[in-house]
Amino acid sequence: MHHVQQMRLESPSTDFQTKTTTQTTTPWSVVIFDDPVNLMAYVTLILKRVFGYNKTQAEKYMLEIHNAGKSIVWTGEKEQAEHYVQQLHSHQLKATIQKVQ
Amino acid sequence: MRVAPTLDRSLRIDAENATDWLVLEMICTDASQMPNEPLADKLALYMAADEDWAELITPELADQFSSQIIHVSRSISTADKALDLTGSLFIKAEDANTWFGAINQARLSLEERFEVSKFDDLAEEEKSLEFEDPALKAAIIRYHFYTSLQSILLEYILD
Repeated sequence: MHHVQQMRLESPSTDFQTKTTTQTTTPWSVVIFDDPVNLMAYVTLILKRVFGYNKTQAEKYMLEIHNAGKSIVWTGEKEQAEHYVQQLHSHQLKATIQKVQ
Repeated sequence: MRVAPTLDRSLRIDAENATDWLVLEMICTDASQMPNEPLADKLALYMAADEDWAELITPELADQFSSQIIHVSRSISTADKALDLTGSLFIKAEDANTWFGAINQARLSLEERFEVSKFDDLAEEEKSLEFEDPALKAAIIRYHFYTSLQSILLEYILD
């Protein structure tokens, strides 16, 4: 995700010069953790509902959560990642966000 | 007790005696007996790095989880019951998520209190030894009943 930011820097003289910088926003991931209670079909359903994944994608992530103990299910802007985690928590799934290294 | 989906995408639960109603009421009792901190606080631990989470999000989730339990409790207590305590309870499609959430809280609570899921992996003879504890035995039976209810909700109504 790139944001183009324009900065006006005052030169030693009274003139202004324009400098354009490109700032990269660090992406964040949504991570879901496995737990022994939530049913596999339920986790699949919530992945479909929250992220809009189709059945195949949702089942792939669900199996990764089940087999590996956790899965990165989405990556993007921090604010959106937090929103997704809030939704996942409301469905009683254990989830967090982490900065992409 | 009989549980079956209906043609209008509801779930019908037929209770046959007082014990059946008691078992249904145990959903709310179990959900309310979450050990240690409330569920919303447990989930907030996963977002501990976010300073605002506990203040802004956790109370909202706590309200949501409480209202799920209250809804289920009211549905059970206001269901039509005959003098012999037979009666039916309907979970409509629009209430299915609320019911599922309350039942999930009950299962999470039982897992935390009794580590119920570990018994799925035990050998039969180990299970029979553990089952001598009546509270544990009852918890396992309720846990499996709740799981069955959730599976039916998922298969016929939610998905």
